[in-house]
Amino acid sequence: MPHIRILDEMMANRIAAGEVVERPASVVKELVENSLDAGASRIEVVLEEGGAKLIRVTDDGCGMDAEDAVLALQRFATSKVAVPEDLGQIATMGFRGEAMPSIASVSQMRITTRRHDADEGTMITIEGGEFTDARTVGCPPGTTVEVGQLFYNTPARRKYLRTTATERGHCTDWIAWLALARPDVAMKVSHDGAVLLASPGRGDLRAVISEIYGSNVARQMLPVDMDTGVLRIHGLVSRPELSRTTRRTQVFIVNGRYVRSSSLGHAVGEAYGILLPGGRQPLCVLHLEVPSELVDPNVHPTKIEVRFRNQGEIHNLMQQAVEEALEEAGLRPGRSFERRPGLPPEQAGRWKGPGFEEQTRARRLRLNPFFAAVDERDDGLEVHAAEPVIEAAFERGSQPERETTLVAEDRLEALGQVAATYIACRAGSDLLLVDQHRAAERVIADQIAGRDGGVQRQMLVLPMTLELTGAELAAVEEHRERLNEMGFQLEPFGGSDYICRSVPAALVDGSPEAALRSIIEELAEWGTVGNDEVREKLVATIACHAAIKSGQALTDREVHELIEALNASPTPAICPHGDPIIVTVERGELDRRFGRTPVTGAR
Amino acid sequence: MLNLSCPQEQLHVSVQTVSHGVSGRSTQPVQNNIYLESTSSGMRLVATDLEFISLEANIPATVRDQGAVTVPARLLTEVIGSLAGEEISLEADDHSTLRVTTARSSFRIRGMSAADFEMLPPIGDAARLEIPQRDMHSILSRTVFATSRDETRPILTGALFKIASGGIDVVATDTYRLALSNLTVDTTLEDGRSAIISERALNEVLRIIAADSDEPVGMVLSDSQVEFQVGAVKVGSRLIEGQFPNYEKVIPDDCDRSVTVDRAEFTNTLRRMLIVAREDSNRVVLRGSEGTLSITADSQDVGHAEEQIPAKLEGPEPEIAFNARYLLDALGALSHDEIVMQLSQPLSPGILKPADADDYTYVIMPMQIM
Ligand SMILES: Nc1ncnc2c1ncn2[C@@H]1O[C@H](COP(=O)(O)OP(=O)(O)OP(=O)(O)O)[C@@H](O)[C@H]1O
Ligand SMILES: [Mg+2]
Repeated sequence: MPHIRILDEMMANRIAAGEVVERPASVVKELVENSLDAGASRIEVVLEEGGAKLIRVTDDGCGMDAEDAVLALQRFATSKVAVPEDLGQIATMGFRGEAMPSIASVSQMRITTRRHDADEGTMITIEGGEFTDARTVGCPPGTTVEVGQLFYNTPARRKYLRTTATERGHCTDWIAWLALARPDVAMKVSHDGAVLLASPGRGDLRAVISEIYGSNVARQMLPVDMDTGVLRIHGLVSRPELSRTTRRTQVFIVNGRYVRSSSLGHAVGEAYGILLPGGRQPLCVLHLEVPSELVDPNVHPTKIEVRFRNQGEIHNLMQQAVEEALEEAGLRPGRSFERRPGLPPEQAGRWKGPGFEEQTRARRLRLNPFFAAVDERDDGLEVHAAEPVIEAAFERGSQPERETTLVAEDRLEALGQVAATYIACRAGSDLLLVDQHRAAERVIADQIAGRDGGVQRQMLVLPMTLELTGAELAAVEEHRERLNEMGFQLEPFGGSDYICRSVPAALVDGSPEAALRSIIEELAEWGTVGNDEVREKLVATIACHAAIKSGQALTDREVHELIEALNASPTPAICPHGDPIIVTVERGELDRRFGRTPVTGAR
Repeated sequence: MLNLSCPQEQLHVSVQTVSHGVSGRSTQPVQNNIYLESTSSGMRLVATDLEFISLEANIPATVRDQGAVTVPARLLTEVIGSLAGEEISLEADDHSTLRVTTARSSFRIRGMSAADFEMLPPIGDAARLEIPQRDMHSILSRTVFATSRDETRPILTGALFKIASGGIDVVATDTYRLALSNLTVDTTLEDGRSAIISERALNEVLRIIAADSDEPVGMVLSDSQVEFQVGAVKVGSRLIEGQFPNYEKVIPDDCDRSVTVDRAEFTNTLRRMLIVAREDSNRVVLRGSEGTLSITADSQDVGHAEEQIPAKLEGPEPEIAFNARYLLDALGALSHDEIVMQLSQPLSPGILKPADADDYTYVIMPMQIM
């Protein structure tokens, strides 16, 4: 490893600033990453009291000499990036030269290190960033960094630490991700003497998964491997039988770095299509190897968020790679169109086919029963045959809904509530069943969207505080204005927190906080979306939270008011999410069922 | 085996009162029943959801044998209610069937074993105080309506009782308004205590106490439970755990204008405005100028409504929009002739309180059109 240089000021400023050390887990992450950068093949992590008392990371990497060990503790001292141009091609985990000094300034640190070619090692002790001791010692080659009493000199942050179990959980999360990122490195973690995780370091991803998620999970994972010549996607995805309700067990590793990416998660979900019931998410550990100039890891101070220069392309390739794995396992019919060629290096960053955004839209159109009508407006948009399975399901399942849109021209007359969920109605000589929740959503959405002069909002006595993840923060920053238009007045509140000072008046009798949280989660999952789509989505989610629920008993008066309001809606048949509101049983159908030959002229 | 008799009237009242403790949503069927027990001194009736409501009544009875049984609450209430003015005899058998007999009629109600019926643990190491019913009624009726219905924020579904040696503060908020009622009373408590008490229990207390009675309500408070004692009835509940928001910080101290109006007149006007306003989130706009307060409501679909009432104005002329329902909630809980609203900017909190008393503060947040 080259020697450490100090980055100049300008260079330093180009690097995203930010808090490196948030909690013990961030220390664990930074130290293990340094060990990986030092070329270690075994890394051992010892934690005490959730890492608050002690974090010790020992590696068999290249080690440092005395001079470098001192330099490592200076701000912007790094051996990893030399000139500004280098920042475009970051291939190591660390590049800022910020982690060690930041950690040292809020803990009692001891570094014991020896280069493989040196006869003796160095031990340095630092307290709160002040060197207290440096001496020559005998020690094995490699590096041990001990971080004791984290935040001992910043009581406010020490107090902010959660329970031992929570902090330990965050630490093991990170080590698990790092172990999944580097199956070739043996990692072992123990906490208060108990071994929590030990990966074998044989380069076998399935073996690491088995260690972390259990052998049962490991057995049910299907291999993914796609190589376009420029980009490689490989790893394991779960058989559809194995799924979760969250995306937490989806791990993406880009060039050896654990990342969060709602776009990639979305792509994987798309690949499964209807193989998974609604709301279920597959498990996966997927490695992406892309030329580092296509990735900008310098987006977020903790480096979890990545941005690709061509997000849409990567999304499609990821989806394709997973689809192929499912096809290979006989779980999806093969695709009729040719495999999309990989992106030639000189075209990196340019996109030819429909991007992520357009594809989502195309899919939505196909699922929208007003397809024919909307299609014209979207003239020229090529609908890709990306989901033959979904398409087929739509053809089968949606037949009655299409008819509904015609019948709903007639005025509905409410007859009564059924199963506290549907409202039976009459229109002409047909029987119709109306989904009460969806009908209410429609009515409220019309009100919100159609109101001149904007949405009514109710100010709050106590603002809500929202702690956001990286992706959520990005989504809120991007869409703050739209959220505000809809009645959620959001303001930054330091770090990754936001406060909300008002809520849409339509939501005061519901759970505005829950609504806002699900809106933010959705925005974060969606990735980049156009403003109009965001607006539509917000209206739909607010309406959903404000609407009467399924299973809620209604009085006759409420039933009639709802149906009257639905009659007034320009689009009474389709709820804001695009689902049907009405199911029709025609007079003819009734006659057939009762075995009665329709009397001529009865209709 | 339970075996006793008692007058119908008293039994009916108790069964009705206690049946409010049945949630009907319990996953344990036996918890949807009323527990009946004959004790050496009479009869004990209990119903509880094991969480936020437990109701217990004790009535005198002629006990022939001691024992307990549980029976469906609705059925028991109906049966007892139908047997007007007679002496009723209750007798349980080995199969948890309750025989209800009078001189003329006889019912057999299929129940469930009392052995499976759970109750809140007896209230432990506790502080106790007594308050006249009229005072308890006043502090509860002015606050409990402002608790939140949003179960995703459990703390706000209860009201905070802050008890100090010199008095009691009761606070409730659903984040749109905050009601604070203060009662000056010698609680004989040396250390202060606070507790967040579920709206369910408090509304039950409100139902059984009288607004004009000098009889006492006993309040027993432990670290995890509360029990109100009203005559022969006990209302119990687990406390809601957590930190109630700092309400003192929320009360504005920078109101530079005030409007004093007749409470009844303002109430009637708002009710009329609500006919139009309810079509559009109940929003009414208040504007004060030259000795009148004008109240308007607009709804895109319905139309427009407007009314002026005389008002005493101080400071700059106010203009602000509120949810009429929130105003009416507080106005309905007060009995004073005049109320005063202390206001400032259109997006800043306002205060509503009685014009001539300082024991009630209602903070209400405005609405805004985007
Ligand atoms: N375990 C280790 N083995 C060998 N060298 C190390 C080790 N840990 C740190 N270093 C040296 O110390 C330097 C400073 O580390 P530090 O983590 O502060 O910065 P970085 O890794 O370059 O960038 P970043 O702040 O992004 O992590 C590294 O560049 C590396 O040369
Ligand atoms: Mg580093």
